[in-house]
Amino acid sequence: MPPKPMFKRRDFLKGSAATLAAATAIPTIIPAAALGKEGKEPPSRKVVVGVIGTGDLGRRHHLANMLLPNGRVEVAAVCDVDENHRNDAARICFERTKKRVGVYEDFRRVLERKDLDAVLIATPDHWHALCAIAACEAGKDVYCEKPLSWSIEESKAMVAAARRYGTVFQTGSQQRSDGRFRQACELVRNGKIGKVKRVNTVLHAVGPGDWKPVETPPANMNWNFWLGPAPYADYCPNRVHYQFRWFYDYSGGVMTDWGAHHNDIAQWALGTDGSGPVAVDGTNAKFADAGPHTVPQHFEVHYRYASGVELICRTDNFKDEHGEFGNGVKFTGENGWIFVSRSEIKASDPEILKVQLGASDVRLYKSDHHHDNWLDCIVSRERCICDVEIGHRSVSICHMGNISMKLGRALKWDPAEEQFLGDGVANAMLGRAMRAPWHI
Amino acid sequence: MSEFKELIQELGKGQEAAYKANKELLAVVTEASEPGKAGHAREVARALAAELNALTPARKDDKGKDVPQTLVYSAAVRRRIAQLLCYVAGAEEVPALAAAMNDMDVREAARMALEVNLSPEATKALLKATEAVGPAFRVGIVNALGRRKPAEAVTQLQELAMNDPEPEVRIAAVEALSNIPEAGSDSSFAQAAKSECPCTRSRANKARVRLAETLRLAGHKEAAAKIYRAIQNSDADAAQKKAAELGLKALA
Repeated sequence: MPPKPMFKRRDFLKGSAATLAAATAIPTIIPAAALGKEGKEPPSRKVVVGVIGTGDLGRRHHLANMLLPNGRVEVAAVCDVDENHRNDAARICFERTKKRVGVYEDFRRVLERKDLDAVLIATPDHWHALCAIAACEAGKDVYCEKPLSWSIEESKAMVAAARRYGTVFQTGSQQRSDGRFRQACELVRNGKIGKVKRVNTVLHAVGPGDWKPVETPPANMNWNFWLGPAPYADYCPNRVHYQFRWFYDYSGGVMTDWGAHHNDIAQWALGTDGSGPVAVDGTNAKFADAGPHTVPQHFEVHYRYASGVELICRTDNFKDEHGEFGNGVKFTGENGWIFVSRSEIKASDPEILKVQLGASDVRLYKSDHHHDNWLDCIVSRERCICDVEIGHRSVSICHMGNISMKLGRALKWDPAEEQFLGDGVANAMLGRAMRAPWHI
Repeated sequence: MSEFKELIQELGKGQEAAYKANKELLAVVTEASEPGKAGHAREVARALAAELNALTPARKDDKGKDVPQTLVYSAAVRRRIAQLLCYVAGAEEVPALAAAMNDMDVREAARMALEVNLSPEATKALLKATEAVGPAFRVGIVNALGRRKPAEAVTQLQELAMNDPEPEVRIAAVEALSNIPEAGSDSSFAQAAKSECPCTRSRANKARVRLAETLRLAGHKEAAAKIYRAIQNSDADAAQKKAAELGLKALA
């Protein structure tokens, strides 16, 4: 039997049922489920994806582990400003699929392709907004790695672009697709530990880094393009690839690297996805004395929500009357506590974890696989579990913390206006000037 | 302020010394930028601005001839000074930053500092700099105006969008105008959307969608609707037409 042909989206929407039946030798009465919902794609159709940013995470996690093994995806393009990375990515694609993909240095050329439905963005943080907004404007759906943005101004612009174009947009905060985290948040939401008093999010400390001399960029690296909107700096191997996280010019340190995950879970449990804290105090931050990393090594940032709940985001394990807690999220309520991480969930009373929620309880968005949720939503056109607005509000908490730490002062925040109160310099730090020709 | 000058000198003494000096200077400017410390902010801003374009002292050689004065600090140090000024600079520092824009190696950093300087003098300096040399730099100036969105920039941006000899500057001006709620700008968008270059047409149509949204959010519903309908009736890409459809739904 010949294989079923894959229809292009526009062809499908234009074709008549008779034409379809003749072309595919399938019954003329086609179940609605096979066609997908009205005006939407049938679930069997592959989503054609381009990957922008094929460094370690882009290649190892997204391409090799998530996209290429997924029968619903066809990877058609890879893009990176590092020639070695993009060639490696292309090789991985060929080894898995025996198909050659388009290989690009410039993400704008990827977005010009009419055959792509969507892009997955795994560049360093300072490129997320520019790539994502351009993708929305090109009519592509987007999966963007966390942290969503380099600044609050950028992620606001990403939300605006996604809404303007009706983009299906998934932020890569994949803990929301982990049943342990959902269980913890549902239990908290349904009052199983009583009124929440405090949330602790524990990340990890950052070293000061090692000094290396500046050098001529290697031939495989388009350094000017890698820098993009960030201020000019001479090339140094300790600034690029994984290490970009520890330089404020490109990222937000561990506050955005892990904070984007755990503060997102805090938001989910507190039910504040459309809002955020009203105060932040990052005066307890320690920066390296001698560099080169510019982000804080250790910190304990305190946030307060309008409800009175306190969020404490810290780099180091902490001990309280309930024990010692490491990387993860601890919710403390009037009647108990729950701690959840990627490897465990535990509570003040193990019986709390056995609670079966009922029909009248708050149930949170269920996703068992973050990439599949994105693909499902591309078909259904519904919002993803980590829709762009959720990613924006979660990363805003991280950015507020960084601004408070950089300025060395406590700040008050208006989550409705998304402005600091009474501090013009802090508000100026909600975004930054970009190197020409880039702008959001 | 002598310690201040020493720290600035350290900025030019290798990576590690520069890191430590920058860390101390950041502590100075962030403290000075605190609300209620305007006086201290002025003092720090003046000190920084004085160093930004500082020249070696005037002197004569042993034949009595004037020795040309040179800049005291390297371009890298001056860029760092411009970055520090972002925290504290006001109207008084605009002339120093504007002068720094004449230096090819420092001008981007000076432009960025003016971009975040809220004074009207900074807007004027940026508007004047649109006449500068170098299309790449002028694109940055235009982008800065687009981000600041001053109403007084509209006429000049419209002029640039229609008539600048550089195509990159023209389209940058169109994109900058999309952030400012001025319905009259659409004529420059419409012209750009007819460009022979497909990339320019695409950018112009995307900017047109943004302009319509800017107008819609500012309450200029009829002007927004007119632009959305014009996009739907044009040869814009499907994505822009879909955005126009969504925009009209939002108006309804």
